[in-house]
Amino acid sequence: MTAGALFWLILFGIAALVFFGIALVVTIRGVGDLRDLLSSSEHRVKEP
Amino acid sequence: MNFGAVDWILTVAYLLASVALGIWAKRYVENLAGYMVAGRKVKVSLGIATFVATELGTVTYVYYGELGYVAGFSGFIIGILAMVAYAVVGRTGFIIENLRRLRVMTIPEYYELRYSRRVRLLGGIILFLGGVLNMGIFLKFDGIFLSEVMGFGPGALAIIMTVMLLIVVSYTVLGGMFSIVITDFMQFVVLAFGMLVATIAVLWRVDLTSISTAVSTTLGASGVDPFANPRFGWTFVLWIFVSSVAAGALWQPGTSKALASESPEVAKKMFFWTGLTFAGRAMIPMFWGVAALAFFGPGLTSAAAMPKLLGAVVPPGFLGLLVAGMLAASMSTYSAYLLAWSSVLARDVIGCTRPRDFSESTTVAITRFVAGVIGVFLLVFGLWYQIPDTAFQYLYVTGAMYTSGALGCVAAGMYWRKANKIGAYASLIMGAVAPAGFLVLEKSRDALPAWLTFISDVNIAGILSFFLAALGMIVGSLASQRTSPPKHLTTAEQP
Repeated sequence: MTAGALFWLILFGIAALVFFGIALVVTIRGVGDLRDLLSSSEHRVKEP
Repeated sequence: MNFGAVDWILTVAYLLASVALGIWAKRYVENLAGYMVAGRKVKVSLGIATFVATELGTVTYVYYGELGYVAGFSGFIIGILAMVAYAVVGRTGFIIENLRRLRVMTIPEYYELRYSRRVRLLGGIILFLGGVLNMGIFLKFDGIFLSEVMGFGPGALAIIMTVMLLIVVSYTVLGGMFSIVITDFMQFVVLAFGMLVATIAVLWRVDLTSISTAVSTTLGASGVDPFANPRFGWTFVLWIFVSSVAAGALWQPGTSKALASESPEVAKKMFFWTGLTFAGRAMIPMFWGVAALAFFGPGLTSAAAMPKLLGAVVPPGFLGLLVAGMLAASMSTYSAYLLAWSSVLARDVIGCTRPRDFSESTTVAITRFVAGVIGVFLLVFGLWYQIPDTAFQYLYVTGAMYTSGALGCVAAGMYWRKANKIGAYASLIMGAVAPAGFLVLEKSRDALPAWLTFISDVNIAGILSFFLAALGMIVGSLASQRTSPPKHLTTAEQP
């Protein structure tokens, strides 16, 4: 394997880990955010 | 055909769930702000999900996969540039923080606050044209991807894509940004899982040593060094970095996520963390493209090589998950883009032909109608137009038609007190000249006189647009300070 290819493959590995890591965190925490968004909107719709 | 019964069940179930969720969200739309910016109540994690989902369509995978196939690892630099650009915008709040504080819904609204209503009209027209031309090829590339992955003929896929577009138009038209945010979250989860499945399948079947060997044998030094690759070089790197900063701050579908956020601080965090995913957003599909080079060798249609690889290496059952992920990616992108461009046409073009804005209900009605019309345009344009150069460069050059002038107008408007409406007109027009010249003249490259051939180089046309836009703003403003004194935001308008 050439040094150039190794350099880019290491960067690819880091980039993929960061992408899927953030995706995991966002998936878990996003559920709460979504619930907040809907509940606050529902509350406002029901206000007289 | 690569698709089995399980794949079909997964795909159809996913499509039905998307439609049901999108239409259900209509109940939350109370007013114009609810329709266009989800009531400005989006928090960080949800914002990141909807931002990433918007910026990752099937077309994104195809154009990055194409670059990986034709340029090897050297294209990976695009991911680094995009990551740095978006993270810098997020960390500093460059432009987005002020836009969010001003509570605008579209970027041209700022032109009216800082310059004049006519500047907003011109900016709206250029933004709409650049945006819709940019989006025009999405459907075609989605068709290429799905026809190769699923193993169907292109005829059948034109029908599938039409159905998909109808679904997206229906829920975008009804539910606006609320539908987009809610469906984007589901689509983000599905697309991220689909990308993980595809990456594992590619790594399982194509080893890294053979990928490295294929790149060095086929592409030599240009496969690992972006500055040695004739497709890229310094002009390209500079253009993509400036363009990524401009697009990060001012590309309406993405910026609308900042405008929908709960606060300026949330907008900055959302941009920063989304920016960090942008290296992976580019490198992961490019890696699939490089793997396709190792798996099949050179000589395939460049845009079709990566999808063909996924169709070959992803096992049945998982293929349905992958296609659902890709459909998710496309639908979230289509919906955000449809809302962005229809909002701009309704509020900043049609609305600005009158002395006063339309009522909120009329604006929403016009926006819904325009979203439907854009959907029809996408079908016609996408199936007919032959793109010049690679899809990636086409998308960036059509984007530059707008982002170059917008960067000149908005950045100067916020950070330079002498910016005035003459400078804004000059910036918008001069910024659009080079990309428009490229799109028109590239078709007759051989007939151009020698002194004009530079405009048929996509990289030069791209970077030139930013230079001309800045020049237009500076010269136009300085030359007309007496006749057109700069207009500044009133105290009530100040962010």
